[in-house]
Amino acid sequence: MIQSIKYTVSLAAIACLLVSSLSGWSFFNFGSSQDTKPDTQQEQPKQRLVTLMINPAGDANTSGRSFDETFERALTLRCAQELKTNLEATHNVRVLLTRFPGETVDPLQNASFANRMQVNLYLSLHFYKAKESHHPLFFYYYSSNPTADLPVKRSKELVFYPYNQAYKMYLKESKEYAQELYTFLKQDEKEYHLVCYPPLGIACKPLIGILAPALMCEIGIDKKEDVKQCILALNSALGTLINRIEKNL
Amino acid sequence: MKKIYYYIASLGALGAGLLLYAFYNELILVKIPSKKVAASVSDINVKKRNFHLIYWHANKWVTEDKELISSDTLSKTLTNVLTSWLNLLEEEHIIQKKAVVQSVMLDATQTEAYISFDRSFLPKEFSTYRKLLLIEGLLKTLRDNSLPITVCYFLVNHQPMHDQHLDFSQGWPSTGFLEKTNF
Repeated sequence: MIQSIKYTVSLAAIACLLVSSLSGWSFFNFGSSQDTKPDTQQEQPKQRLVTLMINPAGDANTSGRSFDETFERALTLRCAQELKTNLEATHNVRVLLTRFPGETVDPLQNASFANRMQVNLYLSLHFYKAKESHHPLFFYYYSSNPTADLPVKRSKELVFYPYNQAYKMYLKESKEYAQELYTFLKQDEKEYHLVCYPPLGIACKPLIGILAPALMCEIGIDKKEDVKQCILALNSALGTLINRIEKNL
Repeated sequence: MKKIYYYIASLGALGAGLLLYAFYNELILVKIPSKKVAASVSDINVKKRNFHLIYWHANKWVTEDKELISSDTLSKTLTNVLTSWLNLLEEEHIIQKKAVVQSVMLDATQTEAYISFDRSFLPKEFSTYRKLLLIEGLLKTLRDNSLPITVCYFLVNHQPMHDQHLDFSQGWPSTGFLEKTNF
């Protein structure tokens, strides 16, 4: 009788150990990064910095669209650097840039960087030549099929997804953030000399493979001096969005 | 006596060598009359049909009707329609450099089309939105002509089309991305 009790107790202890060790596998679960976060994240202080990653389009090998005296890559980098300085000075945010001058970017390098850094928002910046007096501004989020695109269920089971479906993880947030930026800028579009277009979900290449809410912003400008106006507009719109993200952290 | 044979044999070999050289370098063309080719050409059922070619111009969708050859095979019909559509874009100065449809292949269900061009027809300087409208025009053309294609894969020289802003690594739904918007 005593021996059977001993067996039962030892079996129960082994079962407990097994359960506790197996529960650690939820860390690898693709779909549960929000539901079951690793211990290191849970132990962090509540006042976390919002991490924003800005991707200035182009690199050392890709000059992008041409403007009168310069290329898109120079304008996007200048815009991103100024946004970083302004936002970090005024908000509780850490702004990361995906590249520095003279650097080349490999395909999916930015996505890998953003996923490792667990950013709260990824913004890809683009400019194109437009002769309109008011600069057209577009926000895009990734979608491979607007009629059949549904966010993935965040299950606790181990699930694998192809890299080109990573956007589904935070599709709802991407849409919401794009809409929020659009709504904010639409109100003051005359002040910033902008014409804002409603956000669109399209198969946009710069956002492939990114898990975090990711947006692509494209602005039409005539001269390189027009970038200043765009920086002011984006600075205020992103500031509002950062405040919202910070509240939800 | 023996020498003559050597001369004849070497001259014969030289002649045969020259003929083979001319044949392999296509200096001599050998055409064998074949009944099969003639029969297959006469079997093709060719009809003319009115197609709507759609593109975005001056902030609106423009539709032009054109009479084109509608073949029994969907891939040939698609090739004809897309070639005309590209020609129209070039005539209207929407695209500067002309692209040619190399081939159109269909999957087993005949609903997914793999369209290969000789070059990308999306100009580098265009905004993403303008490039999107070009593609939407193509998809709209397929839809409006009741061509039963649900997904389109865009290729250049039989490889996925490369663009800095739009992703062509996956198929594009024929319903397009602007269906829900009011643009």
